[in-house]
Amino acid sequence: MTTTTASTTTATTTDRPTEPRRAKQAPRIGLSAQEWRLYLLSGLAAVYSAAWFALAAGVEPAPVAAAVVDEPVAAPGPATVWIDQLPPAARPVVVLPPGWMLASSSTTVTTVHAAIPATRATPTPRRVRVRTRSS
Amino acid sequence: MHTFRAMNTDVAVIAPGRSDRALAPLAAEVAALFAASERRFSRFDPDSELSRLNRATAPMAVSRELFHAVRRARSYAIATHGLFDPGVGAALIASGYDRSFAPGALDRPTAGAAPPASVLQLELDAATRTVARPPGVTIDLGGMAKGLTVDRAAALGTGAFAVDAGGDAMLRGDGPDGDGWIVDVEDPRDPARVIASLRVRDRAVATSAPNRRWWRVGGAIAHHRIDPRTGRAAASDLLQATVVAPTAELADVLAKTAFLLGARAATRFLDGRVGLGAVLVDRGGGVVLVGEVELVADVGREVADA
Repeated sequence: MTTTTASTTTATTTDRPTEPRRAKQAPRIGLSAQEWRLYLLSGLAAVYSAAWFALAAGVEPAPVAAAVVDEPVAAPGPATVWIDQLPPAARPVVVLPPGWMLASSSTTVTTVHAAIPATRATPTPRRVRVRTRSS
Repeated sequence: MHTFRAMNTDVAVIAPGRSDRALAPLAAEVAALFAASERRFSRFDPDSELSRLNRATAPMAVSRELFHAVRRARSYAIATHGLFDPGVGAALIASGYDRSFAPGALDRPTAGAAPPASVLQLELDAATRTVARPPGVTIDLGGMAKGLTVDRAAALGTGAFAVDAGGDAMLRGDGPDGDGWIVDVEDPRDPARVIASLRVRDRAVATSAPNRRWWRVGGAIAHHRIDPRTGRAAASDLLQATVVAPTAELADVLAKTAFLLGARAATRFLDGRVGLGAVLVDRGGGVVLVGEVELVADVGREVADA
């Protein structure tokens, strides 16, 4: 300790070990580890964004399902109408798959599928002949 | 060959040279077609589309198949001067034939009659496929529906292929050996015998006779061959009429018509028409061949030999 009267600052300065001063020092990139991480992340984000835009430009946007909202409708008639309750001119043409039929409001149809009979293999005669008769 | 039961008869699906395993999927498709047709056209199923039409008191929109069948039935009624008319369902029911049955299994104390009715009384609207049915007209598509189903089923196969629904058969191609299909015509007096054998190619056959659908009414025998002109069971001088035609539907219609016409008139009606032939059996057991019929020599052969 050389003096006690000088200001603390002075004293402190005096106490700092002196380093040899260089005349012209090259600029030094003095980045902390945290700054390096920030730069790295920014770079990666930039590359990612560029790649994303480049790829997304050539791809059709996925269809977005429109939200279906049942609007309240003022329905004066019944919610369900049997087709045979409609006047003939107002009946829609309904094409049914084979074996299906339209149910009627006047009858209770327990099944709409026709029961398909089981077929069985029958020995074929050596000379096939068909017999016709009344049935 | 595959067989199954549908429309109250045995149906055979025949494809010579094809194994049973290979034929099975096609046979199942044919069976499904028959089941769908029965569901639509049966007069005995109260839930069938035809039954609902027969109950309808207002014009009814019907399926494409039923509409077209009714329309064709009307055309046949016109072409046969009313001898073929599926509008006689009420007369059939009145005579006692109100359910599907085995021969002779019905026994009625009495039978009624129904006023004459015709499919020509139906009103058809093609735009809406609507059929308006006046009271008293009950439609019985019966054999015609079976014929049209046979035709549709036979169209599913290729090459030599046959569908036989209890005697209504469509025989496609040149037969098992390329020289035609052999069709045995049953003897109406003895079902165990064959009265004629025919060779046919790409033709259908159908037979009309009262010997397999009969019942008792007060001790008398009644049958299902209703004469639309009288609304009563037909009195024909024929025991049986077999017709060869381009389609099973037409063969069925013409066999019924020929039976009602009787031997002489049926011969005049059918002879000379392209693609048609007939085998008529009169009450004396005589056989009349009409039109394009190629007879095979082994007449009188026992069916058991087949």
